[in-house]
Amino acid sequence: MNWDTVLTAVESAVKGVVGGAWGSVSAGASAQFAAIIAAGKQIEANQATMSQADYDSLKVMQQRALDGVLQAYSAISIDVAQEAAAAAWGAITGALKTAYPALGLVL
Amino acid sequence: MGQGGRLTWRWMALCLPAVLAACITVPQYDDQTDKLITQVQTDADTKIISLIALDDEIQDLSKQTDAASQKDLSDAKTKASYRSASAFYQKIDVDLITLKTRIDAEPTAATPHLDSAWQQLHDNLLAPADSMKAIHKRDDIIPASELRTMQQLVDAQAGALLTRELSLKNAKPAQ
Repeated sequence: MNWDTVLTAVESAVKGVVGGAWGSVSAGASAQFAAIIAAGKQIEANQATMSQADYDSLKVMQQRALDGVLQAYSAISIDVAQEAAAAAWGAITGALKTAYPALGLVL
Repeated sequence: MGQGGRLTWRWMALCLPAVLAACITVPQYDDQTDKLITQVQTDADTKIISLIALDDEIQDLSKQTDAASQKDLSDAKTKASYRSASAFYQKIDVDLITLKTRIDAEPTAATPHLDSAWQQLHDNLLAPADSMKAIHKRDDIIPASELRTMQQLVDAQAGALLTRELSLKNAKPAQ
């Protein structure tokens, strides 16, 4: 998988939700975008052995982290931060589903 | 109403926005909050890095069959276990409660955002489900690959809180 392309998709997904606040948060959230990409790579590398419970924990923790990072900014409301976190994870699962249609996890 | 009364009302109308603005507490940099965020991150990173080293050691020793290696393996598994980490989870809980108390001590417009960010950091470390503590309790030993992911999350979340706090120090509040 081309994870650089997925990173762009993650950033676009978040930008689409936070709108004009993107300029304020993009640099500060870059560490969390890198973490989300690392999580996607972890799923890709361990797809044969990863349990659904492990995947679910990874998903919840990643979404919490991005949600928390975005909520630190006053320009982003709590609801918008949650929506953006879900959108970012959606970009990861979308890429994984496309690359691995037979992935044995409920993403 | 006489002319004096109209003037008084006019002055009140002119001054009202300034009075209201003065009532809104502007977020201020707080040195203690800065230190407490750093403390949480340092404590979490130190433990995670120690657990990563232990898991690497466990993987190496698992390939050995001699008695000394098996003894070392047993010791490493004990050190990496959930039970051995109970003091860490208690410490991080105290760190986080202290940080929350400090954040909430002087409410500002930024407080609800910082509270929410704090809650997500707290939950990723200590929540009863889907947290470092919950996974440690369930699996007893957390693989190094998962620990590295957790470290990235903690660093990103603590980093965002710190960036927010430091932006106040530089008198450029994050928007």
